[in-house]
Order: sequence, then C-alpha cells, then structure tokens
Amino acid sequence: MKIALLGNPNTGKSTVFNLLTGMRQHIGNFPGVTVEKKVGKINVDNEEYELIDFPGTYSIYPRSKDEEVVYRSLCNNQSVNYPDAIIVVVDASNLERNLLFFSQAYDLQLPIMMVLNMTDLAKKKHKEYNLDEIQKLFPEALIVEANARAGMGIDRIQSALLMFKGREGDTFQTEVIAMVDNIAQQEIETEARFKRIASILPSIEVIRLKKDSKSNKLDRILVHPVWGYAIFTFILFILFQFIFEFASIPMDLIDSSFSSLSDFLASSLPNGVFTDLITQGIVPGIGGVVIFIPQIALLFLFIAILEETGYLSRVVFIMDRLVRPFGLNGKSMVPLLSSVACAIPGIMSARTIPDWKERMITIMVAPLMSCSARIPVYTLLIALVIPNKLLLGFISLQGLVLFGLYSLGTFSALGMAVILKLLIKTKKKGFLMLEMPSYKLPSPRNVLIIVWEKVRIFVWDAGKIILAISIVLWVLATYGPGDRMSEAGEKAQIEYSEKGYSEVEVDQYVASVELENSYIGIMGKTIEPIIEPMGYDWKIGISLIASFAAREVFVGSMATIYAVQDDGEANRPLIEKMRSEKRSDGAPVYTLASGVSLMVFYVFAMQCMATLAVVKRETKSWKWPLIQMGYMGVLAYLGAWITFIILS
Amino acid sequence: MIQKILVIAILVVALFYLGKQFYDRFFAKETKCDSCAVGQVKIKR
Repeated sequence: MKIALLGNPNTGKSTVFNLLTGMRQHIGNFPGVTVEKKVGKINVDNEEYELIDFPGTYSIYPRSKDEEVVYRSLCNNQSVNYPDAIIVVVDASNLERNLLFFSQAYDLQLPIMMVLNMTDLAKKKHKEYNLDEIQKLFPEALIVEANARAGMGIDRIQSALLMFKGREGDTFQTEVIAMVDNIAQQEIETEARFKRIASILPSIEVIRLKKDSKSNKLDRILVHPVWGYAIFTFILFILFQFIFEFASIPMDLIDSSFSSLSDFLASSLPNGVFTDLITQGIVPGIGGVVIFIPQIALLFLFIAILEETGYLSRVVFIMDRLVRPFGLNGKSMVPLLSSVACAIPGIMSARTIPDWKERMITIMVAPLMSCSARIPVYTLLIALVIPNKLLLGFISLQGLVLFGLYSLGTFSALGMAVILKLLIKTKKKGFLMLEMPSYKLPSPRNVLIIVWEKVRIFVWDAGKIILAISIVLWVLATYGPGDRMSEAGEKAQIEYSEKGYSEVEVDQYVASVELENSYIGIMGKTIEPIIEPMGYDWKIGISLIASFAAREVFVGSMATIYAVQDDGEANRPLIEKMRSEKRSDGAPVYTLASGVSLMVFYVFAMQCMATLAVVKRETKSWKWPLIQMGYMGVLAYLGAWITFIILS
Repeated sequence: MIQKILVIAILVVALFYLGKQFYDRFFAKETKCDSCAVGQVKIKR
C-alpha cells in the first residue's frame, strides 16, 4: 500500500516520517525544507506500507515547483506517486490554517488519516479540541492525536494504518485540475473553505485560544528592526569564535595522529612506490578531510540548534526586510541561508520561489554565501597567516577574520543580486508568506541526527573525491617526463653537496627540485605567470586547479604536495610545512598578503563541480552555470589580486 | 613490481571514479528525479 505523508510546512511531518520508518531526514522549522521526495517502509502486523514524504504545502493549489509535486501526484491517478491512502499531519497549535489543506485532501475521496500533532504546544497555547466533533465534520477520516517530537502517538498511527477503508464517490480532481490555471477561481474556492472553517472552529475548540505570550514576547525582541539584526550578528559572531576556540584541540590531535600514522606505515611497510603512495598520498589526503570534522560538526550543531528552536524562521523574516532593496524575494532567504551549509540544497530549495527571474537571481548568487566546504580552506589559511591573539582580551582575531570572510560572501551575494536585478528585470513583485513556528527547546535527537548526517556526507561524499584526487596528484607529483626528474635531482645533489650543506638540507633541496620537474611541477610552472600577480607560487596553483572539483580538495592536495616534497623527512603537520615554505629569494610564500588574497579568492571562486551540476539541472541549460562560473572566476581573480596589492 | 602494479590499479580506480562522477553529474540521464511527478506525468484535461 502506497501512503502519501502530507501536511503544511512545520507541522512535524518529517519527525512523524522518521519515527514511522526509522529513516533519517533533515528535520527543522525551515519552511520548504522537504524539497526532495523521501520514501520509507513501515511494517505493521506483517503488512508492508510504503510511505512517501511529500513537500509541505499550505494548499493543494501549487504556488511553487515543490508544491506542484503534491498537486500533480494527488490529482492525477496516472502519476507514479498517486497514493492508495493519505496521512495528513496537522499542527494542533494552528488548526485553522491546517484545516484548509486537510479539507482539500479529504475531498480527494482517498482513505485518509488526520494526525493531530504538536498537541503539547497546543495545550501551551490553551487550545484543546473535541475529537468527536472533528470526527463528525470528517466522518470518513481516521483521527489520531500525537506528539511526534516526544515520540508519542506513533503506536496509535501504526494501529490506525490497519483501519484504512476504501472510499467511494467522485473525487474533485476534475474540477480542481480545470481550475489549476485559474487563480481567481482558486481564490474564491479557498476563501469559501476558510469561511467554513472559521464557522466550525468554535464547535471543535474546547478552550478558546489565547495568544502564545512567550513566543510573542520573544519575537518583540528577536524580530525588532534594530535589536533583531544586532542579536543575529552577535549570534554569528559567537558561532565563529566558538568554531576556532573549541575545534583546535581535537584538530591538533587528529593532525598529529595522521602524521604518526604516516611515520608508522613508512617504517613498517616494505620500501617501494606503493608504500610511498600510502604514506604521502592516501594518508595525508584522508587526514586533510578528517581534520575538519570538529569544525564542521560545531557549525552544524549551532545551525541545527537555531533551526530547532524556531529562531531561523525569524532570521528569514528580519532578513527579508534587508534583502528587498537588493532585488531578492523574501523567499530567497531560505536558499541563501541554506547555502551557508551547502549551496546544493540551497539552490534546490530555490524551487519554492514562484517567479522565474527571482529564482534565477537567487540561484546565481547562492554559491557566494560561504559554504561549509570553505571552512577547511579558511581555517587552514587563517591559522597560517593570522596571529592567534585576543583583541580587547576576549575576541579571537582568527575568529573575527572568519566572521569577516562570511560577511564578505554575504555582501558580495547581495551586490551581485543588485547587478543581476538590473540585467534581468522583474515585472512582478515578490511576497513572503512565512510561518513563525513557536519557540521550543531543541530535540537533542534531531540535532544529533543533523550533525551526524552533515559530517557523514562531508567525510563520505567529499572524502571519496578528495582521496581520488590526492592519488592522481601523488602520481603526477612522483613521476615526470622521461629522465627529467632524476637528472634534475642528481644535478641538485652534486651542486648542494659541493656547497657544503648538511645531508638533510641536500635531501630537502633535491626533493624540491624533483617535484618542480614532475608532471605536476611542469603544470604548476606553466600557470604560475597567471597566478603570480595574486601572490601565489606554482604549488598553490596546482591546488587551485585540483580544487576546482571541490573547494576542500585544496587542503588535501597541499598535504599531498608537501608530503612528496618532504620525502625522507619525519612527517610534520601541514601547517608547519607551509609556514616554512620559501620562495627562491628566501622570502616566505605564505605572508599576510598572499594568505588573505587566497582566502578572498576562495570567497568568490566557483570551485565546486557538484554545484555547477545542480545549477545545470535546475536551469535545464548550460548557459547559467557557465555564466556563474565566469562571473565568480572574474570576481575571485580581481578580488584576490587587489587584496594582494593592498596588503603587500 | 607488485607495488607498481598496485599503484597503477589504484590510479585507474581513482581516475575511473572521478570520470564517472563527472559524467553522472553533467551528462547522465537522471535516474533519481526529485520532481518526477512534475516531469513524467502529464495531466489529463
């Protein structure tokens, strides 16, 4: 039996889905979070049910692409997703609004169950309902009370699944389908439903509602035109301070563990190229991914807590006022804020924006928001060139720079939106319809699931690409055309031995010369004139090319290049190797100017193959991803170049 | 010799994986469609 799980956004639909199926999914208060179709299996009394989690929608009439999925699946019995029965999760604390969609779903004449969820919140709002009265209004529906966040009522839902009965009668789909293009008719029908709901509500409410005073009191501060922004800025500031202060201890531990592992493997495995590949390519490559787990976990821990409490919806609301002059729809804030985690779900959630041009602007600027893949690059470079000191005795300078990089990404996204607004003129004015969920304590289980999923995706999905690129880079760094590498190495050996350098110094110099004459060295030297104005050497150039696929590859590729160069030496942490890197004239490669220039480059550059692929898929064209890559590349080059000139 | 063969094998796997990722993301037909209901089904009027 195929069952559709439906409901308004923020009704706890995803929580019900997780509890029923055991499958994991992103859960939160973010409107429009369920963009993709999720399917799970439920087994009750040896009966198997297939549960499809649909995007949240306020009405059966679609206003955006993801809502269209619901409409087309329910109103067309030829659809692959057409269900045998439906479960509608209803927010008991806001029954009036939720009854609109439920009444529409009820009219579909499919077997239907109402899950009256969030009854705890309803009680806090002094709302209780007479289930018998609701049953009288919808006689053919199964009605079940639940409090999914606390895990209550799931057994009742499972028992009710066995009671689904077929319904007879014509569905209203023919009429609805006829009306889909007629917004005026839709509005008349919707208004009539709301009037009916308003008239029946007093008969089903046991206690008249009172305003949710706690939420309202908090909102008076958190969405205040001045305090709202100040508090949000302060929260972000604290977040970046925490990321630097608390992640450093586990990161140092991971770093030294991987160095020790490389040493151990080098001494215990037989000498040869495969051992070199493991100790110089694979282990540093994996280490370059694993080391950033603490920071990624901390970032998502904060985001998940903010989302779970209901605060992020307030952020969308206050930011809406801010972004309107920049040509963005209020709904753009959901994709833009999602892009702070990762541009891919951010761009996909732009489907909730009804207007094509506004959707395009949002998609085009979303990758400028600093995503979590930039964290490894930012933190490595900040630790390298920004002193670890406190300003005014309590503000970490490194955390402040990280905050600045995120701000730069945000403001450049707004700036680009203005330019695109002028280039792509919009005729319609957008609007923001946003639900303000009640504030609630975050569920530790949901928060941990979100953190775990994000870390797992980073390590597993990005990790495989980073590892594969590290292997290719190691081969390119270890071999060169013909005898070029060995000849250059022998020449350097003789030259430096004659000059009276120590054996260690000679070995280091020989390894460096050999690397320069490897395939990767030749490639790096070829592009060096292009990147030199930004203050980069050819090794950085190689990492820029390698990280085109994914930004975080930068760290892994630097680890591989320096591991090959340090051949024969005890493994040192990457940061120490980079810090001691010198140019031919003896000047350090990584200065404040070149380091900050590199950070600015990564703020702007479109170094993410997966994002480009999603933009191509969402826009159904090569034009937009190519334009995006082009403008971001120009911004990155010019920004990094100007930064280097100013700071030099 | 064995070490060299292992390195070549791992390199081939890495290159194949990267190539497949690139192909899947940009050129392969979508097998997992997030909006199949929109894309595949025509509404009868």
